[in-house]
Amino acid sequence: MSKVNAAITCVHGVVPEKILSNKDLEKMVDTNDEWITSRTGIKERRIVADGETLSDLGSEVVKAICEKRGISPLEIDMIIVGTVTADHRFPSTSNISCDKSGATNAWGFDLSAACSGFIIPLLLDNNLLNQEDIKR
Amino acid sequence: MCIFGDGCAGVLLEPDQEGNGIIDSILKADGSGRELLIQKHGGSAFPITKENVGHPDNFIFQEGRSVFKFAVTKMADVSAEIMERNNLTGEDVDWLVPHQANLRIIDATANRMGLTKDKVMINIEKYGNTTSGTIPLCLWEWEKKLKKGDNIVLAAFGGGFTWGSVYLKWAY
Repeated sequence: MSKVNAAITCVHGVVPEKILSNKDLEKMVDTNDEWITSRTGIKERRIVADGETLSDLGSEVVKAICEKRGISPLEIDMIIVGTVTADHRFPSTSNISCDKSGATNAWGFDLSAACSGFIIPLLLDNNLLNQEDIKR
Repeated sequence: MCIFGDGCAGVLLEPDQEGNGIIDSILKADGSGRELLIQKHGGSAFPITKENVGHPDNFIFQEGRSVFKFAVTKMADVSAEIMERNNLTGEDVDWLVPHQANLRIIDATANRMGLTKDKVMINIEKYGNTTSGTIPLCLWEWEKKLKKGDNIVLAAFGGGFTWGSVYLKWAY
């Protein structure tokens, strides 16, 4: 079997509604908007609601991707979650997201690689897609 | 820490038969930098106990200056390296999708690659650093502008240290 490339065929993102601006942070810690903006370029960030977890956001992403791509969650073979803020130490957020999104034929795991946590699973998957039983 | 934000994005990966998808990649790691960007407590080395609740080491620590110096060099180096070994010029690259940790690191990487600013995906001002979420959140926001066959370079740097770049051709 010749080696195939993994291609991104759909993408979706979910960000929490709550916005925390640099001005908001000024009231919480000793910092200011100018200091943060000039050093990092950040003006604001999103913060999850109380009780909202990564698997909530992740399963929403999975469901949206399946809808956009026109496939059933049951057609997903594997879900890798790159994160340093998993729901729990174990079981993996992948397992929980599979259940919450209805991707119940999938297996998977969490991968901890901090800020390289997208490109490392991406490359792993590029190789795993050459296994006969993993199609997407 | 003022730089982190919450967010989540994902991609669907499928086999490609048309020459698109992931073409090349370079990944690197240097664990000697582990103390410079770390959430120390909460693992088996330093479990969280009732005595250390609230201790600063239960949260993320970053030695900003050292991490910046390392990141700005390494992310640019690895992005230039992947262009070189795939014979890509700045004109050939349609998009750089950099990890969103710091605007100056992004600018340095783009300059090193010879890219104009309109080819660089930047949304750090809205979401901050969402760690593994930054690159797919950018792809999601720019999805409508992407064309089949676009040459895209992803570049990341993070705790560990780990860093790398990916060259892919957009498939749809």
